[in-house]
Amino acid sequence: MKKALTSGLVLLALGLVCGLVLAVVNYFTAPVIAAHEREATLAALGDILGDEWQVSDFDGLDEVENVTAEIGKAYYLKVDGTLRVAVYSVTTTGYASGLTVLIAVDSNLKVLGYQVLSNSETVGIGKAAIEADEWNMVGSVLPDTSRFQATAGATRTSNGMLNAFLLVAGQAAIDFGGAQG
Amino acid sequence: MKQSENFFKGFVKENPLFVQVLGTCPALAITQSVENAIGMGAALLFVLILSNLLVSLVTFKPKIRELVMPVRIPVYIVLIASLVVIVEMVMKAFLPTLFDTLGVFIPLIVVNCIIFGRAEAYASDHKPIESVVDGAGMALGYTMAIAIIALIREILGAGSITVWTTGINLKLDLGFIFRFLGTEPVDMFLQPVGAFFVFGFILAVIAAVQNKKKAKAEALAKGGTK
Repeated sequence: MKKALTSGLVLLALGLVCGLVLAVVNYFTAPVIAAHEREATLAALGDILGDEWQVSDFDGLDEVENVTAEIGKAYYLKVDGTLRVAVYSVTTTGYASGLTVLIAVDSNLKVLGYQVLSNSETVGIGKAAIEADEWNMVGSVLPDTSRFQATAGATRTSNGMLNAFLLVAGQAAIDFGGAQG
Repeated sequence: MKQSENFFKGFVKENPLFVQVLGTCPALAITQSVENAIGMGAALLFVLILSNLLVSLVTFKPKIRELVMPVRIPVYIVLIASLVVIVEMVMKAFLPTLFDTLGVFIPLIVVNCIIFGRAEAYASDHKPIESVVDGAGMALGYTMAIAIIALIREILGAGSITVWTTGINLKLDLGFIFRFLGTEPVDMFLQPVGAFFVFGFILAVIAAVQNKKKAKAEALAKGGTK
């Protein structure tokens, strides 16, 4: 009994030491990881606003995390305090989980642009479909997805992409209070 | 056993992948490019050397060994998982592209058969230095094996050899060979099925060589007895 207890305590001590080491490593790596993610996201934001808007057009930027289970982050771009463009980072499941797409919509719920931030889709199939980028959704007014072009042979990746637009449609309608014409 | 023998046994004689057929999941899944194989190999090298060292340290002294042995499996898991999380955090911070490509196979190193196998079969019964040498040899042997698979798959599937792309661009385009031959790379080799083909082919070649050696030895033995 005493031996078992001592063994348990040894395991506990080992767990505490490992936890401490991990905390130290996390202290050094967490800011670098956060900076990478922010850098990638900001670069992507500029790319997906299309010709109508530039990042510099906006005087306010609010970031909201964990908007819903799927929408990990939302960027609200404002002009004179009025929300004009919202960009959502939405994560869905294609062939594999973790298909993260950045989608920008304006106050009319028109899709200004989108970009796949990360994915674990199959090389040569899902990844090829994402690289081909023939979803044809720029200019669509959500929740209308009738223009969406699925890719033959990459059905699950296509469904993941379509789902991302539908999730954004629901959230954008809430944020903008419905299409504003 | 000499330290050099201990080190080099992981390359050919006891190669974890080609001889012991351990760690096949990542070997099949991430070998689309040589860079992936090198990244995976480096992660495994770090984890295997340190896990062997730590397991050896906590089981080497008889008094500590007595306390650890009843809970050795949870102890191994705590040690290995901590090392893997360190690799994961460092790779995500400094090699984000490679981290994204290797995906789930980095956290899955926690349950890699090679790591557990070496911890239980070798490190728990040997001195720390011997365990480190064994870990290094096994990890480099595994890296060599997945790099061979990746090399074949990438050449045949993509017509290139990508050694490294973070910071410096070490990519060799072999498209001219395919153009000269009037053909193009076969995409199938980049798919999982291509990994099975290449892995199966290599195992078949190894088995054929071993059978030939065995037959030769048997023939010599028979000749000797006559």
